[in-house]
Amino acid sequence: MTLSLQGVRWRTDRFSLEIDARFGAGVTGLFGVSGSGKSTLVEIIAGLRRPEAGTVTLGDTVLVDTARGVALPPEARRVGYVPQDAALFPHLSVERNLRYGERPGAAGGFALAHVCAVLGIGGLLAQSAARLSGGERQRVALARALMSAPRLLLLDEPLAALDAARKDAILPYLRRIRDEFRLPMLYVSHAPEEIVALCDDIAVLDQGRLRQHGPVDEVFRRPATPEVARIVGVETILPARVTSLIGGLATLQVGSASLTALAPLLAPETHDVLVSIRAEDVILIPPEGVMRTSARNQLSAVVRAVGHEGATERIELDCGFPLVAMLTRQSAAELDLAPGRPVRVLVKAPHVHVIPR
Amino acid sequence: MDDVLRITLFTLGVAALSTLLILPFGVGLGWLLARRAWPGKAIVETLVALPLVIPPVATGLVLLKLFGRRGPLGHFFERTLGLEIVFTWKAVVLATAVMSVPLLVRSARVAFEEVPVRLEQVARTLGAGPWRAFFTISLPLARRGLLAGGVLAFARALGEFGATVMVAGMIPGETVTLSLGIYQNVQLGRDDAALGLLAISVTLAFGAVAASEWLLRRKTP
Repeated sequence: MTLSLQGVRWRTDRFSLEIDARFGAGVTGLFGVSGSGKSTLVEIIAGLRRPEAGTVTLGDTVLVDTARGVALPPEARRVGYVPQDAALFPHLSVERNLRYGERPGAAGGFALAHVCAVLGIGGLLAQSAARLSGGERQRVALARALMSAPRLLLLDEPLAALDAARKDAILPYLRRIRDEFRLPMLYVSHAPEEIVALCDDIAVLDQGRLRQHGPVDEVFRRPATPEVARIVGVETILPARVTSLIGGLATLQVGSASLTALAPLLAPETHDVLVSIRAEDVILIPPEGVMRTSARNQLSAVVRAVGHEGATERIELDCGFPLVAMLTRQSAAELDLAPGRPVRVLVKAPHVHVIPR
Repeated sequence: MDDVLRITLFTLGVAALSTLLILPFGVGLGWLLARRAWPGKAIVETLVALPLVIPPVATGLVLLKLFGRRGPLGHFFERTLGLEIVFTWKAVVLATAVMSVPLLVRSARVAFEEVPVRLEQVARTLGAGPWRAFFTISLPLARRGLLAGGVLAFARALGEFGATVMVAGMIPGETVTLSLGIYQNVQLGRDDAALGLLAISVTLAFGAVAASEWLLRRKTP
């Protein structure tokens, strides 16, 4: 099921959105700062806002085609929508919330018991929706959207209203939805860690324009423009294997190298993870540099490429796996970095972020 | 039947009927004012609020001119339905309805404005058409404010005088309500009878306002 937007335009006096994009299967993170147009775009897709121009198609269904005067009402789109505040119906029980959008017999419908099991809300069915905690509300809202037999899920910052601990508790459920129901999802967020933890692709939105769209690791490692780099930050994201986990300190196999990371929240039986290292957190020293340092990770590396980005230099390294470092011009000049030169890489254990897959 | 009892029942009946008649209109208009932008909205808003601010007697005069036998609406009703309105009990219902509709529309508008738009939008994405979203989400969530508005309109209808006397006259046994009865009795020097009707009026109004307060304060289940 492909969601395709062509020449979609929406404007107010102060803001304009102009989008051409195709979103395929899997989870796409719609990333941008507040005011970049993420929610507006999602509302256009859901049918809550009508664009002044453009076409929106989902699979072979035309949702919007302004040239032909087509604009399906939201109820005819079969697009599940979960807003930031969950928007549960407070006068109904959890079960009646879930069944509100039920389409018995519709293709792509999921059974109540199945949805409840995946989201762990089976015990809440009889409760009033008004009495749930923040995390429960979000899970019920997700379940309610799934129950309406959607062909696409739009999640508009579903974790933004939760504190850090609750966020970490909900993320596994989102991953289960992704893996269990195999629906295309657009996941709006301004938190890179959520995108990395959940999404296959990322679409970077800035001032109503799509700046870059591609696989998450690709976009984080090689932002297409300095603007994108400023918005997403530069990060290396790589698959890794946990080889040991003792006292919250994890040893990871990444490429042909080994890294130590702080991972106090990692479940004991986890094997496959993602690691992310922000480019600003990577320290470079001369190859013959001091060996006694507090940084847990010291690796020998070879410089692959050097790129200028404003006042900073973007150094692409090979240290058993590809790694990007951002340095100031002066530092790069003092180290005399050039492709092919050896260098030593230091990364502190807390800067190696471990993300369950 | 006892005159006092008959007047009381007539007044209650008129107020109930006029409230029932304006309920669908007032609730619908309240929702449109709260949720939609449409051309002429400001004019409709002003027109609906007008009976609150102009003297009731003036409103009554407008109704008399519109619904009298030679008035455009009166002529229409008489020709098509054979209905004679002015100086009958129907005119009492008409006057009380027009005088109490602003209170209902205002309450309904506020009640709907307090329902988050998001909930209606999510209901739509879950497959509910606009009517289903209205009846299953907006209406139940606004119900306390709507009930309170209805009670307020009912109380206003109980006490209406100026517009009623213009358009329905003061015909004993036909158009005399509690308010009109009080005035008539005082005019005729029957102060005791007037005070009796006054006591009933005050009791009814008190009951209506208390009911409205109770509905507003009641916790959502």
